[in-house]
Amino acid sequence: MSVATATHDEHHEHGPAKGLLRWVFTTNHKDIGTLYLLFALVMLFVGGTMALIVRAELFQPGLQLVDPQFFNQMTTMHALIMVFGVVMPAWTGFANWQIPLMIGAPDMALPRMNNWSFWILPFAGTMLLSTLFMKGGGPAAGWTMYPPLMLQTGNAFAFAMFSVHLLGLSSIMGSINVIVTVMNMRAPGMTMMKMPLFVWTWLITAFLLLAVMPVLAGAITMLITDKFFGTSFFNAAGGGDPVLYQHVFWFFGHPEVYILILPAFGVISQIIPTFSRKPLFGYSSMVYATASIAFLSFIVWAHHMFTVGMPVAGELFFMYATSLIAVPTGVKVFNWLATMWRGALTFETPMLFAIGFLVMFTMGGFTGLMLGVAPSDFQYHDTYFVVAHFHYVLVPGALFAIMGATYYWLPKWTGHMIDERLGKLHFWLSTIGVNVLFFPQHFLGLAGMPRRIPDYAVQFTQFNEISTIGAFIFGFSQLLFVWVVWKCVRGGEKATDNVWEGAKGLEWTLPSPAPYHSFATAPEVK
Amino acid sequence: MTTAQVSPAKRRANRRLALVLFVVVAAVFCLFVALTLLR
Repeated sequence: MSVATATHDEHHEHGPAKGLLRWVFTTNHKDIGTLYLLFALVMLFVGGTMALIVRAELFQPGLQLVDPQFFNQMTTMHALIMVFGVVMPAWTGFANWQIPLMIGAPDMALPRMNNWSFWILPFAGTMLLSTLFMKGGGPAAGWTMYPPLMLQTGNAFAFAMFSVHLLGLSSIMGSINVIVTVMNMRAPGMTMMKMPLFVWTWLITAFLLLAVMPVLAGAITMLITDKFFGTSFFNAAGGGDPVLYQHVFWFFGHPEVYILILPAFGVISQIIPTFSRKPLFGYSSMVYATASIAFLSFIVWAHHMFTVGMPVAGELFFMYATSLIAVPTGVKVFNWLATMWRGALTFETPMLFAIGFLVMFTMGGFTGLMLGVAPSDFQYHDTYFVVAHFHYVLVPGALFAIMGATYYWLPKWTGHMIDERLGKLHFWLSTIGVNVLFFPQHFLGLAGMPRRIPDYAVQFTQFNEISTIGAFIFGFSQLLFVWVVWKCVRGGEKATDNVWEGAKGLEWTLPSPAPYHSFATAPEVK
Repeated sequence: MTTAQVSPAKRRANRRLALVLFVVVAAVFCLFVALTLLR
């Protein structure tokens, strides 16, 4: 038995398979992480191109480039792709790469399911994109897919619904893998309260995903039966209620925005202590704040629908519950600042992205509070102010955290340092671009410009022109990101094992690049 | 070390927890459709 086991074990001590099939059949967490990140990068440019089409059309009032129906398809597909095709897969990519390394596990707990959950994505993404070429065009009712408008979609409807189902299934399997890995595969001595913050935030995110992805699946399944099987869940003529869809959707949708941002909180909690050369201030309060945010995310959903005509008691409940989220979020921002306070700060590229996140995400958080106040929301609802708010949270928020995380861990993955000069240039171009792009949209919204329209009144022209210029600066700056990553993969200054002077954690005990199979023996955590 | 070298008991525990989580997902799906029906 022992001989057989030894032979069996030796058989598995090999490097990656050769050729294309390595990537098709791989069960290695690093390979799968890379696949997720590459998929997210490709989709970032697809979704980004759609955003540039939207912004190009809005450069001037009147209809210039695209017809209104196609414009609506672009806004809808841009959002669906950025949420389900970029930010969520990117975080799953980081989870795959980093969680086993950070908790001292040999791999993810369920490697074959891991392969499957990735390989669903390209098919789902392609199916979603293919709807643009169908009769009647792609879905054009916004990413929220509200009936009855969504039910007017042409042939694309069934394909779009099926692809959202598949994207959800992929997320559910990814989350199950994260939960099982974190609960069952930690190295000896790695207690829950010793886990790195990125692992904690991902664990909580995974539970959020499990709780709400089935709700989205339920909502769109009911849309499908309303469309094809004569049910009237959301059809007023048949005794149903379209507003009910909004409740079900946002019960998913609000936790979803925390699914996009909680792993970003985790990444920032890794980067800031490293470049402050201090331990994270208030570790346990960070964990409890993350859990509080996750809990509160379930009881605030109707702040997205203050204008549908709720009872005042409902408006008050959702307003106060929403305002409460500022407390744990404030704890987090305070802790990040306190970590930097009197630290030996240096400003390498990942730290620049973390500080950019800190400042600009907080701005997005504050406008969120403004929107959470029911009477003022009546002024802002469905205006560009909302667009400015959630883009501040998602672009210099989630996307900057994704880019910061890439620069932070890339030397560990490739064995080469990044080109700091180009990395910093990328940061500054992105920061300037993103603010020129989204800051004027606050003013547009406050002045009353509605969202999701291809044409607008002439008094909005100048801010729209500025915004479009910012969009193109930001969009083309991302080519520099690809170049820096490519350069780092191909070569560059050799990275040490610790990579960054102040970096702490199990992943930095491994050689750079991290070996194909991580820990030959499970590390002991003191 | 690869996951193939993780002990069979641990692998069974992993599969069991995954199964429980899948059942939770299915239950949440059914619950929300039922709630919408019973509204």
